[in-house]
Amino acid sequence: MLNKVIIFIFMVLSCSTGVCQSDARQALVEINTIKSSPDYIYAEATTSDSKTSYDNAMDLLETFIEDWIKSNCDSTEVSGCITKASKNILQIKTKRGSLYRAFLYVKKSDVLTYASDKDLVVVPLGETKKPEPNKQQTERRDSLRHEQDGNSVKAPSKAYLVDDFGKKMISIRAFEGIEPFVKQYSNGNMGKYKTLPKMGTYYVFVYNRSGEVMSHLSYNDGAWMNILNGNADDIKNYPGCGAIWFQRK
Amino acid sequence: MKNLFINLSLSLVSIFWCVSAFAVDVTIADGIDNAAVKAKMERSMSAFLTEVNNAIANKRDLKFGDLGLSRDVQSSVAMLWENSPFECADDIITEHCIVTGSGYQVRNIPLLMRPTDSSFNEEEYQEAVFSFDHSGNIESFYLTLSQNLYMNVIKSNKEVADLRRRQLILDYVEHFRTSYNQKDMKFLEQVFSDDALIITGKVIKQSKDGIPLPDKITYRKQSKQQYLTNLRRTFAAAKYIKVTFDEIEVSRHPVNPDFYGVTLHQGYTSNYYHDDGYVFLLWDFRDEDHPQIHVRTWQPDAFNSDGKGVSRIPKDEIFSLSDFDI
Repeated sequence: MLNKVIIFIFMVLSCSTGVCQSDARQALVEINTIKSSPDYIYAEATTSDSKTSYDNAMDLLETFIEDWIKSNCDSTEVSGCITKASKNILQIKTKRGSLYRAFLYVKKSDVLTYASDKDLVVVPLGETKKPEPNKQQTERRDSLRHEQDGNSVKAPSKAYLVDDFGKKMISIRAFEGIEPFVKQYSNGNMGKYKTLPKMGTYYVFVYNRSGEVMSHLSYNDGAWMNILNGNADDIKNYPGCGAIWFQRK
Repeated sequence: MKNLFINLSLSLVSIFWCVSAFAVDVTIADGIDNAAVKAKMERSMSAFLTEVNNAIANKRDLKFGDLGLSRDVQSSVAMLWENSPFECADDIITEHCIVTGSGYQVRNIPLLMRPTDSSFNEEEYQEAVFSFDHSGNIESFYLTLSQNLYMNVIKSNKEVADLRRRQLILDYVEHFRTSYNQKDMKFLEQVFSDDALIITGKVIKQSKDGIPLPDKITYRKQSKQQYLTNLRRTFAAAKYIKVTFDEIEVSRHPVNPDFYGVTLHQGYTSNYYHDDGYVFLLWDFRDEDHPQIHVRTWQPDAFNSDGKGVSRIPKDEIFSLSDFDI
């Protein structure tokens, strides 16, 4: 009889152990593995409501991502990094008793906008042949300046029309569209705002943390113009945003 | 003989299973360079939380014998346990270690409260924090504010520029909140200054000819001794007290930088009473080792201001730093 009781207890414990090696257990092990690794940024929340847990965890994760970015990237890249990070956030849902636990995490390597090997060194002006359209714009601007220097007559104003390239550029409204557009239309010179050269003609996408493209600008030797309406503009008008520039083919 | 051997083996395995089912393993992921202190902290947290789970499973009180806790910590944990036993929600825990002015902290320890009063059936999730000295000895174990609230204050750099002072304020607010859950009169005696001003608000419902009129809020002033005497009676009558804070705002006095106003949205629940309201505390941090509360006010968070229905108290009616001369 005693033998049977002991064997019964042993079998019950074996079965319960097997049940415990369940999804919840696997999730717990996975969560702790991620927390132990230096490669991730993570946040979690436990509440009685699944959505509240998710929202609270997301609020925290965005804070932690921003902190990490500010410690590891140039501050002008923060918006782009957060935007990219938000596309790569993963979630593990599990429970603590009857409560909902939301565990959100992202790989640090998925947070950066461009890998360092994609950052091209900007070629100084004069070392490569400039494409024709840029040269024409430079000549037009120079003749305008010449007139203004020589006399008090202002150049006649023209009605602004967005050209075909401008129309294509302003059709890009989301961060995801920037990279393929730049790859298609640039001559290979491109980069983040901090690498924008002082002289030359470039095009600039300005985007916010939510991944919306706020503005499409052109930059000519220090002068900014809004491509949508032809008005003078300035990158300083977009605080808290990120910017990517490129030079046209 | 063979049967006896099999029986003994199975018995030992079964006992081992039972014990290890409650074991908690705590690992510190990062934040501390001293490997020996780190290992000591991990061992002491693991042992403490394992004992907590064993006590809950076996429906007994905590046994502090082998845990290496100071008398003060034992006393504090015992008070918390008496108010509401708790268990560790996870058996594997990995957390960061934070360096503080006096040592280290490991936060986000997941607990499930198991109050003995049958009127509280809901599963209560709380998080706790271990505080350690520089040698890795446990100095305290408190219930914390939610991580979102904590981070909001730590990150807010508009009013409170000094991160270390912000951490200190939050630590004390957490200790203050835990002291109600623990019914810790000793801490509350010490934390209120002798000349503390205590103001409590009460909503008076009015009606005329059956038609509801706007509520009236009356305020009552008490001295520290009057307040603590009433609190002692409340603690004695209540089987279970749960205080939660789900909003917090910290402001530094514009002229006296050692004085801080802390506004909390408080939920107070006991076995026979519940209310929600705004608590304002005026903290004096001139002696950082013994900060004191000079003013404590409580107001209901909602009332019928126009006779048409209950609405939240307007923000400008909540007590704040500007209502008091320092």
